Amino acid sequence: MKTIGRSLAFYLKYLEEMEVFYESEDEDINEDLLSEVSNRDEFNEMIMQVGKRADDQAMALLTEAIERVKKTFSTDVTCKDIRNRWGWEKSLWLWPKGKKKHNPRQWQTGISFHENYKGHPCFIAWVWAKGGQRSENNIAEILTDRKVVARSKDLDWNSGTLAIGILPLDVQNVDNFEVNTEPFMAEVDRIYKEIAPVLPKIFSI
Amino acid sequence: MAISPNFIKDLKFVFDHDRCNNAISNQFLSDLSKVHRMVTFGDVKMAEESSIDELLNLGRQLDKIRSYTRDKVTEKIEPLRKTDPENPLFCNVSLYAPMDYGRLEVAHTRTLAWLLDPSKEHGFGASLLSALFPLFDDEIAKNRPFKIKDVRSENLHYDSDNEILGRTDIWIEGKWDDNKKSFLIVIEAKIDAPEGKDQLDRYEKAIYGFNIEDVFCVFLTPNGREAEGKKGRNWHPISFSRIAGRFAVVSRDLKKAPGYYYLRFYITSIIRDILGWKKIEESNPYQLLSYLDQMKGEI
Repeated sequence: MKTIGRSLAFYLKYLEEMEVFYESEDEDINEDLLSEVSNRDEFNEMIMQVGKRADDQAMALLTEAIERVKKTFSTDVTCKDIRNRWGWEKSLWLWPKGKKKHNPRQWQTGISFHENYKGHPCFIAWVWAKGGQRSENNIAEILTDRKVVARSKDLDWNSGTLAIGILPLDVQNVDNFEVNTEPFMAEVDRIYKEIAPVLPKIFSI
Repeated sequence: MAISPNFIKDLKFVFDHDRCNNAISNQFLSDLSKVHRMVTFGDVKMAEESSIDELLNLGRQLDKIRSYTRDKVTEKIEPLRKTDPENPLFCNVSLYAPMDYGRLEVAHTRTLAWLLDPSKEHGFGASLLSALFPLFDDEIAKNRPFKIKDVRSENLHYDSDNEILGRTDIWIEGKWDDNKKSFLIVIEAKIDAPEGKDQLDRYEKAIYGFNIEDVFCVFLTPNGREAEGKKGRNWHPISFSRIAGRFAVVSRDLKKAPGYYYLRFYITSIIRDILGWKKIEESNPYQLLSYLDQMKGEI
């Protein structure tokens, strides 16, 4: 079984704690909280190691997922990696294959981590088109409600963005931190295979 | 974790023999894997996964910390319910929830700008602004009387070539009463979205173009995270829970002001919509403790 990595599973399971101890500045951590820790140096070192590994594992997971997206789109769509500029996210520029006259910076897709979507952390697959709310409305019409999980205002993301899938990673009931990657990847395949046939319509808006 | 002394010799052997599948030793493969990790991650120790036992042990410590924190929260909440029943923590009415604007950045930044502006109709004067200064952890800003010259939201800035540098969410200019020198507070808020490419760099260009000596840049987020790529720079990471906490304390003395209920419902919107504390028992206990810790503070 291929897993997402123990550190990432741990991080997601203890997200609130990792935010406090891994992401906050040392001086912002309430000293009282550490009164339960027997060896602070060991504790801090372990937190840092798990945090850094989780970062690497999240990016490896997203890289694999985005490679599958490229493969799904390979026949009709040209994909170009977008340099990651924040957090756990991988994204692509998209444009129709073989099209000579095109604006290559008009359409994107990607998968991003959301710390608190409807009360839970999750990874969200999304599409984006230049043109703000007007483009978003047009895409929503093309995809219909069945494929659109959330709109930009629900996520407070840039307008033009629509969530097309929430990717499953159940870490809460896993004791050994071994979380199978397959359901996640299978959902990536399913979502993007559904989207692929309507991309020409999206490119024409 | 060291690589075996034979590694370079083995590597040369593989290089010299392109048909050597059967001759590659397990030791060499293991070394190769370590080198790969070292090149990829920069540190062999960092790249190796923790054992399940190590993670279980760390998890137990975090469970204890969570339990300790929840106990502390319970310990602080019950007395607060009695002494300050109007505290927004116990209020169910969010200013923005009915409009579905609870996580809309611009709604929050415009409201914050209005609340922080002493000249507005709320009648709070500079009370809320004074409550912010202790959060900057800066001696310069502590307990100094001041006057506010201007508060603007979505302030548009240009560089010397008239190129747009961007819009700062909240821009507050003031003067210290004691030495008449100017100060500037700039607040950039992010709720769910990340900062734009070089966004804070561009703002700094605008900010330092004004040649104001005392500048306080605030990066306001739900959990007080640092700005990306800005570690060690001048943006104070402050969480919405701390702002809500400070405002809640100050609001106790503002009950007769015209804007009191507006402020109370606004703090409730931070609590319920941004921080997601719909039910106290399901709230993030660390943010909640941070909020409750503000309650005991003197302004």
